[in-house]
Amino acid sequence: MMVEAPAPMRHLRVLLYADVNLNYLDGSAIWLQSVTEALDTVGHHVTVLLKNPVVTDRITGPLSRLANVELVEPPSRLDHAAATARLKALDAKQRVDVLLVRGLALAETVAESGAFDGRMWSYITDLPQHVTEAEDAGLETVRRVVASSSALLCQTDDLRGFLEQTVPAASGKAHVLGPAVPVNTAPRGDEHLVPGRPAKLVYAGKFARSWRTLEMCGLPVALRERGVETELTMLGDKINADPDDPGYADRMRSALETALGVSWLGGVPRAEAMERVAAADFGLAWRAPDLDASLELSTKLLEYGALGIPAVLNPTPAHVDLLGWDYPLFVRDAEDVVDAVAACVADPNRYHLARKRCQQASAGFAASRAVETLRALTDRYFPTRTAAPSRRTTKVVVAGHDLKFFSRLMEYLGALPDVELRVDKWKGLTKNDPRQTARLSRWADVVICEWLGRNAVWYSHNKRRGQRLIVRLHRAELYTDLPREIDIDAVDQIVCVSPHYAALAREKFGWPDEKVTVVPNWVDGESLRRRKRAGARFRLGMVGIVPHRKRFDLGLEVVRKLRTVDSRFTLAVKSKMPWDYNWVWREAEERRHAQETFDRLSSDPDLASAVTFDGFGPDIGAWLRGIGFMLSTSDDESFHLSPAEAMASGAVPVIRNWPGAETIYDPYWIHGSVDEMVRAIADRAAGPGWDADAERAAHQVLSAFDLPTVAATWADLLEHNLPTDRLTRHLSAPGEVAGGV
Amino acid sequence: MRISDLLYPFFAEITRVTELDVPARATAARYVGLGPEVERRTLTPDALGADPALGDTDLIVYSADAGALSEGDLGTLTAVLAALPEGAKVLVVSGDVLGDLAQPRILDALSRTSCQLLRIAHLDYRVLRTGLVVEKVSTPRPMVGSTGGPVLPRESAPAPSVGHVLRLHNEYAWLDLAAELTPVHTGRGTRAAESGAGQVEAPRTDRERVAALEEEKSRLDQRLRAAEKALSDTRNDLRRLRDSAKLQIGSALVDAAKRPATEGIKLPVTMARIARGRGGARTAGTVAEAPAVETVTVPRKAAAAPELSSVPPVRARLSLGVVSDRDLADRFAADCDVHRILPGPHPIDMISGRRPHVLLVHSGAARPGSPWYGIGVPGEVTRSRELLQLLREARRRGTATVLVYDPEDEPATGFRPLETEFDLILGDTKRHPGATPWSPGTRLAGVRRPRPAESTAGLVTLSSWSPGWSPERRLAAQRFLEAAVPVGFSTWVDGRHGDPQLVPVAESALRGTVDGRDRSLLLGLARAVLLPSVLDGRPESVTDALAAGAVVITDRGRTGLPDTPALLHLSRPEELPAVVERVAGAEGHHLESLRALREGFTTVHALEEILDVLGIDALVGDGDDVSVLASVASEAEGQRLLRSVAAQHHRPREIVVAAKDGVEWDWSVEAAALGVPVLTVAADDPATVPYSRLAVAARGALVAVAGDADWDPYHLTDLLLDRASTALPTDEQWQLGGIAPRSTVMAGQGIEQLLLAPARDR
Repeated sequence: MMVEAPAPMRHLRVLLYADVNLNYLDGSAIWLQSVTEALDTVGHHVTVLLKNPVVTDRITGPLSRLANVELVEPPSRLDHAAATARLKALDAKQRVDVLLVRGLALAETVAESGAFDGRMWSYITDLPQHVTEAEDAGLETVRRVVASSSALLCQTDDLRGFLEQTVPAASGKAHVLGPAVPVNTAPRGDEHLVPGRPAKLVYAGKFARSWRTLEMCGLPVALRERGVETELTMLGDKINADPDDPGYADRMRSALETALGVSWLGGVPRAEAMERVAAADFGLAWRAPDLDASLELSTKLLEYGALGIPAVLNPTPAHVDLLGWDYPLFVRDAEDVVDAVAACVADPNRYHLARKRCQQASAGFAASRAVETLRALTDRYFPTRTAAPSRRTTKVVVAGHDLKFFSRLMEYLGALPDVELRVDKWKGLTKNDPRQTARLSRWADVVICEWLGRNAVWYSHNKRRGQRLIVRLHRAELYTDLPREIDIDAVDQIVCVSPHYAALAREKFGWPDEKVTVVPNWVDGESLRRRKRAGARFRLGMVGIVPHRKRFDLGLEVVRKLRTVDSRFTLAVKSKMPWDYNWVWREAEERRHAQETFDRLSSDPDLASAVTFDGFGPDIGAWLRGIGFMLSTSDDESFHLSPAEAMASGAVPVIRNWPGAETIYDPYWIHGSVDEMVRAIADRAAGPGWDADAERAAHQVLSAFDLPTVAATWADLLEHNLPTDRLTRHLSAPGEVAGGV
Repeated sequence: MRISDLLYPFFAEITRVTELDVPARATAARYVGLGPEVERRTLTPDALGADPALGDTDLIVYSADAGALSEGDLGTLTAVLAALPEGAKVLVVSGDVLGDLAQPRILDALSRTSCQLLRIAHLDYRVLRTGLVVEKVSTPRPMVGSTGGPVLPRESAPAPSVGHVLRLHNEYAWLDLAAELTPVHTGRGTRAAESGAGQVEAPRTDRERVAALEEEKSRLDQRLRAAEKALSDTRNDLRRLRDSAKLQIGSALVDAAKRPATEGIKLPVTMARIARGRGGARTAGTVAEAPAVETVTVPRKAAAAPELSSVPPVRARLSLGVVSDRDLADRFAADCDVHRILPGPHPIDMISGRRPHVLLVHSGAARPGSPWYGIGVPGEVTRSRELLQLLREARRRGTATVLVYDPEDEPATGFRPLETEFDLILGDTKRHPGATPWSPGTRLAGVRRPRPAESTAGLVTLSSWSPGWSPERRLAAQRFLEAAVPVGFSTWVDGRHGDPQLVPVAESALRGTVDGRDRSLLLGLARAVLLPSVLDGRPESVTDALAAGAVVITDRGRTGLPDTPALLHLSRPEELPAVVERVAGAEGHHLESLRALREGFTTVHALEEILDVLGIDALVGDGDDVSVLASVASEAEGQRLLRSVAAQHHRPREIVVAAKDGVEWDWSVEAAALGVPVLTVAADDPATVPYSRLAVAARGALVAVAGDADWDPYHLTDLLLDRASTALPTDEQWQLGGIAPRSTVMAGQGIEQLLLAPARDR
């Protein structure tokens, strides 16, 4: 097999602005520093517009020394309007490929200007992070920013999921850009908790009521009362006023200056701060419980870990995910802090366990990780061709009435540097604007007909000399007469999503073998691969239960039987209902089946309480986090995307043996009956089988159906026909190599 | 059910039917419904044991003598069961109705002979009333719980004993069926009342059958006419009662009490005048303008308006909407109307029509298996949004909202932003600042099960093994287990909360997972239960175990329970062997535990605590399962009692009148109004009332003792509980089998006072 060289990455001009004062050392300043460094490492040219004039170069100094980075200092502090004007001016001077902004209000101002539509990447952090806030505050600002942004960057999966579920338009363009920890100070090795000297506590950051910094100043005395001698070093110079407690700032300052056992060093250069932290034994990141529901990670925790000291912090879900339930330094109040520190001082093994966990956690957030993420984003939004691009631009028209199954491929093809793509949007399978179609037909070098409807018939009978015509056939058209109306000689290739349907099409319409090829559906692995929620292995999923041939009734039977084994099994359904589709609901047989199925559901209270219906929508990535098994119980499918998407998410597919299933999926996932499906699920959920199979499923699907792979195949298809004996089966059985997708 | 239906699931396994030739009995073998290819024969019970060809495809048909199974005469049955080879099945048929069978003794016999109860049913024959199918087993088939899930040890875990597991399984199977039977089939007294002649004899000829049926038809016609007349009279009485000003004002007060905030309520004008005359403030409209309705403000609490309290408040049942796992919903189901709310996009639909007084949200609803799975998980939106909309709709409709943090759910931080939406938050104050400590309480009813003659469960630890355990807690749990296993404790994992795989150290002593009702069964069978706080954070575990009659060994003090001999404390695992020695000394003191629980640790108390905080007057209790034990001095007083019950939404399953000899009072009209069967049992001198019969009646019954009885009902009830739950080798013991004494105990005050007093005062 010939291995193709990876496509070269494009180097972009990036304009970066964050609503952050770089004269203060806090988490947002560190973020700007780390992202700038990562963009520079990727090889992009970065122009950073500062918000404030430089007072101290603790942050800006290192940045100004980077080769591809240019800092633009304003004469005075910029408000949102002024910042937007400066950004537009910089873009006018030299057009940028991407504007990366942080700060929701600022992003809204930029979005309203319209100057960067389609070029803005927004780092989303200060949006409401719970439904109560979202319902009360409204999300209009977020919606405007989402609409105007080509990419949305979130710090964690939780935040990305929340954004997708509250603003569905974010689905497909929300990505995780985790915190990066730029650390230039090496950990101290094992010189911690030296017997005979006080244990050293350290805090670095802003001083604010919810950050518990005032209470921290009382820890040395409290620990002394427990017989543990400690010293607390406080680093930072930003004392936040508290509108609910006007005297807070004064009390905080007084505590920093006078509390027993506390040394306040004020603001220090970052390198010195790192050294001070590395010299300590415990890093404090303990906060008020009202911050526990935050969907973001504490960068302080990661910094402490990178510097080799354990963090004392709240057991939020994010922290528990990262450090494990049995992390020894989870605390809720001051009493817990004293207990936890005292226990570690008394038990070195305990201390070293905490230290090791923090170091391991931080390792996952090294600066190199951010570089990888930004490189992947660049490849996604600014793709290049593996083969040498043709010298002239290829003009591509995509014609069809429903483009949702082709949307991401269209974005990819349109983003290729040597492709110009236009859409001939039909109003229905048979309705269009004839003048527009004719005009685009004259313009195009390549026409892709999504669905074999009147669009394909028209283009096949009006094909220009030298033009390429590609038709993508779905299951629905196979059972109409439209395929007989096309001029098959004019079609360069018919593309089916599965070998089974390719064979059916050849057989039914007598098309020449070389005219029919197979390109599978795509799954967006980057968007779907997320950490599963606790308990997901007991939750089955079904996406789309209409029409009856999807066999929702069998799905119910599966979960009913499983609940006799373990009552934790439930079924989540993401679908429209039969009555939501006119073409389904007007069929008496469909209505009867629906009635019977829902009657059965409502007459069985246990089953009814085990099935939930979630709204139909694009937030599939967030939804799949709670799904451990995906059912495919249909009588007939051409591909059935939902098992593939679930596999990419880390769920295990459970597929009924509908015709052709074995030509797409590994037979390992295919079962002959409901009872077999039940057994397969019960066996896997009960033991380690689920984890292993989930990993195996993800590996299979991402190596065959991942978006970049499939999109590259379509890019080839623009130029030349694909071989027709491409596949006998997409996914490999154990010990086999996947077919040549 | 026909015998052939009963046997149908086993048809494929049967190749030979052997009917035992026991004298003086009609044959049952002809009803088995098997084809001619199946061999048939007759043997004596003695010959059965000597037959070497008996195998696992044999079906033995044994027809028990009349009264044998109900009176506990099980010698023949035991011999038959003992003679079976593994895999062979026995069809046991009896002329006794199911409710009369000596359940504990039969179950004991099954356990002793390693037989598993496969099916049990009421039969549709005049002389054959009950059928059981049992099978000889060496390894019990897995027992399934109330949801159908397994509750026995995994196959790899050694079973504690065949007898113990069989006993659990058989009792479960028996209860499951008995619960589905109608009252007419469940009681000896009912049957006696129907037949009026005690034992039913099988007619011998067709002519005799015709005569018997005509006689039965005539009797039923007579009853029907009497019932229709009674119904007509009762309708008139009810109409008069419903139209009375007293009842309408009472209804208005109930409506007012349902609302957490004081607000105007609509009354007819005439009612408004009466209410105002008794102190209600006028807020809108005037009488002179004579609107059809007008608004008056009625204080929420009767205590705040003594002048209104002269009208006896009509008590309604609390309506509770719950977003919870099934266990919490079940816990409260007997004391109020519980509506389990399932998720959905339309919150109005979820609570409309039900108008719950209180909406209770339990953090356990987020667990796997719950329809609300995911709620409260940070970043999850769909369920949290539905809950938020539900809470806001509830508030708009005046429904109080309560959040309950389960101590086993960690960290549940996604609920924190929702806290402001609740009127009350219950939970651990350290983890949830501002929360009110609270325990869901214990349902005394149904918890206590008859203890088998040979209690095999022994010493039991229950634990949840929550994923949220800290290292300290794991370590402490390990220490407790290491101390507990050598002195004979078995570990059972609470299937609602944990994953046994989390704690490998427990595996050596792990016996299985328990859930819901099976947990109660296990507690009822256990001699002692170890519940250190590190093993189970839920305070109701202690009270549940005490209520079930077990001795509880615990290190926790926060239950607030007074010391009882059945509550043994320890502070370190090393003390466990010494404490176990004291377990024997604690036997027989469970009545003191029950009394202590009754003072303040029942689900009724738990609900009333919530209502107190929310300012809703007591609406709890007095439901279907309350036993009212009262003395009435006259026929008229008894009639008033029943009418009061009818007006106050009591719906006992049956009414039992224990009449002194020679007293023939007629309460049938009032009983007909209630729509429940009446059972009259003969009473002797009240001082020596045959407690066993009262105990039979105490199953969800309203018990009234006619005559001028003047004994202490507390004492009587304690005695009932004692006898009902202790294996006594007396004739009464079999009669008490299967009885679940109810929770509420009535004092011997006047009836009006009794019924109108708050539940807590009783």
